[in-house]
Amino acid sequence: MDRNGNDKRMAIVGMGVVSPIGSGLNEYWSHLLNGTYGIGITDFFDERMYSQRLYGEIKDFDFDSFKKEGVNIGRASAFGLEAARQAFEQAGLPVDSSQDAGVCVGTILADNITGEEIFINHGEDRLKAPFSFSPVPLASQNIAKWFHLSGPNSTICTACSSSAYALANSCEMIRNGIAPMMVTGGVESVSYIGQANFMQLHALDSEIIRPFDKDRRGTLLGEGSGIIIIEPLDRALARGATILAEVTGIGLSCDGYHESAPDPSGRQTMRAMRHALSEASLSPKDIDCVCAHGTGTIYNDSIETKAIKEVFKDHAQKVSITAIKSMIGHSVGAAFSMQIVASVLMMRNSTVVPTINYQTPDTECDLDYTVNAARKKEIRNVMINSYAFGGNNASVIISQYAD
Amino acid sequence: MKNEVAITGVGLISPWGERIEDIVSALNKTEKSDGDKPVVMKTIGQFDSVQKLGRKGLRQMNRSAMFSVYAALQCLSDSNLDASLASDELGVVLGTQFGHLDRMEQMMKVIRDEGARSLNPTDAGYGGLNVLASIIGVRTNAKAVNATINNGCASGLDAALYACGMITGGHAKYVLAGGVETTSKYYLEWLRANQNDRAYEGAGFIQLEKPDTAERRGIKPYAVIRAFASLPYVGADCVTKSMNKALMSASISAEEIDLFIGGDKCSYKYENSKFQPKRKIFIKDILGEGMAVSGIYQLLIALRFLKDDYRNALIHLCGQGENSLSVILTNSAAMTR
Repeated sequence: MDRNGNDKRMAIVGMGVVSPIGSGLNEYWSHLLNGTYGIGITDFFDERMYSQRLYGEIKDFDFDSFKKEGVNIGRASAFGLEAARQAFEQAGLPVDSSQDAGVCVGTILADNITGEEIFINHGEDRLKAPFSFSPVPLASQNIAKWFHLSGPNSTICTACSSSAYALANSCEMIRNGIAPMMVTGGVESVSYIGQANFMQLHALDSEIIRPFDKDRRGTLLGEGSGIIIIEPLDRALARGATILAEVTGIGLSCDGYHESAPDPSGRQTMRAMRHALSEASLSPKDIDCVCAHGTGTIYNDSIETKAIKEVFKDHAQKVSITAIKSMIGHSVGAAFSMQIVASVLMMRNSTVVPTINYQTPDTECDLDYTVNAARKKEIRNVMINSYAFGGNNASVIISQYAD
Repeated sequence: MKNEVAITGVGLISPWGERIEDIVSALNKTEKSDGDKPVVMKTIGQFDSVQKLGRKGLRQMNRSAMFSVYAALQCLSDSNLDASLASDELGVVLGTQFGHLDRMEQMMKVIRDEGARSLNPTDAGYGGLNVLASIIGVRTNAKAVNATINNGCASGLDAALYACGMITGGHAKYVLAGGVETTSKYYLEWLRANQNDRAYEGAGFIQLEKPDTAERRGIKPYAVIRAFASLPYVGADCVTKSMNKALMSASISAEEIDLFIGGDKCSYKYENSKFQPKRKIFIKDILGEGMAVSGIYQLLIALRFLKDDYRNALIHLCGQGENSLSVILTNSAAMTR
């Protein structure tokens, strides 16, 4: 199946999600289908300090259920734990130390908000471990500790494509015999630094997030977590697991152009797509749906469209594209993880969810973005794109399981 | 690990020098014999960044970025790889724990004291942990994978593990895998909180590729990584389990290990009477804490001794709440085909 001739097909056997439009697969799917907009003004950002306060905040989340003595659970970690809990439940796996599953999670700031609040409101001298000492590793460690997992754990940071790189690492950990099963995905929560950075880079729209629209002026951020459990297909079948989908191709690349601006040629994004197709032994016409990175920024959406056209050729006009960030915002390190959960749901429900808030066509972005309404479609293979500041590109293909 | 990975280049910068020999010489000095007063943090002295790196992009490089770029460039040169020809196949994976915190603190101060609107736009893109690896990628023209691992003391060794997976999985042909840690108030506070009285800063890189790739290039590897094992650092027997798993994965016995490079003696409890290496070195006990760079320095030290009569090295590193990592390295001349 893959380029090395390795026959370890990777099955997705469980998944969970926490998002601004709902927690749990049913709620998430229902709102994706209906094109629910999950972004609004948040009280996290003081209007005296921030000119941009729109954010995809998760409300009504039960943080108390994840309080435990001796364990530091911040906002993002709590999202990850809930998503992981759902994934274990769906996978029918007992949660105890007999699980030698590993954990690999992607994030940029993880539980940093806890330290940021102390720093900003009480002064840096009040910072105590672990939040002053970079809480990023806690993203994976908390899941490992909470669920008593006895495999390896690590946290990957590649900005907005972190959870895609985490999936790539997880697949190789299994193939190299380091772990028999991996819990992987992404976590991200609101952050003063995160919002400030995007704001000052002029990467945020002042009104609404509208991917591929002619009047798009930027993205809007959101928080959440998507967690999937992957294991070798033969092992999953042997224990009678339900195979939700297969991870059939992963393509990674780096623009190597600038630390915070994408390469306008799109060459490396194309290379990532082609690598994923090659690993999956698929041609572009086998891809029925592209779950785009689709951030709503002027550059990303143009470059991504150009790359899809170049790679897919004639099929570019036929493939259905969707940008779920139009509904849930851009959750940075968790973005891909929420895309892959949505993509599995689209495949299993034979429906492409909409790119909402689209009003004005752009001649530079003239493909089928499934605008404003969901559409029924048989979906055999989905390509999921994830790109990052610094040019860390990832394209992942998931496929319907076939005997 | 189903496929072996060769180490074909090294690069480093440390308080003791820029060669592996300099770190090995530092190991030979004991606290009693060198007569120095105990120091909390051993730092790198004069570093002429303009002379070593050129002016381009310097303004956006913090200390961690400068050291890691320098070490990565040294490694690339040492491996004799022309990055301009191989850029699509060359990746970067960096491990660091505190490398970006100084920048984040600067940003938080501006946000707190002046508001988010006062954050300088040219600084805004440099707030994430991923930026260090991105800077290295731009400077080395590496356009395959680019990732940062943030996992405490094990970050550098974890970066090497990640990099091995990227090569065996076909995502990159060559990877510069490294670790960097530089002095900062966060590093010092962590040391105090964990009752460490000595530490050092530095950066180190190894270049990884498949053995047959190196052979086609006419490059003789320093050594071959035959196995990695990574388990959570939980329970008294995690060290034994981690080492045994690595040995089994490499298909060699404990008796065949003649060189051991560990962290500190306190965390080393390997229950196996057949494990009698000719030489054991506990790097943390001698040099102090190195956080993300310590695992890379352990690998580099092993490479130095594998050049002599040692055949198989076992490197082990662990940290509280993190992983117990074991790596098996074999002298490339000792590898049988």
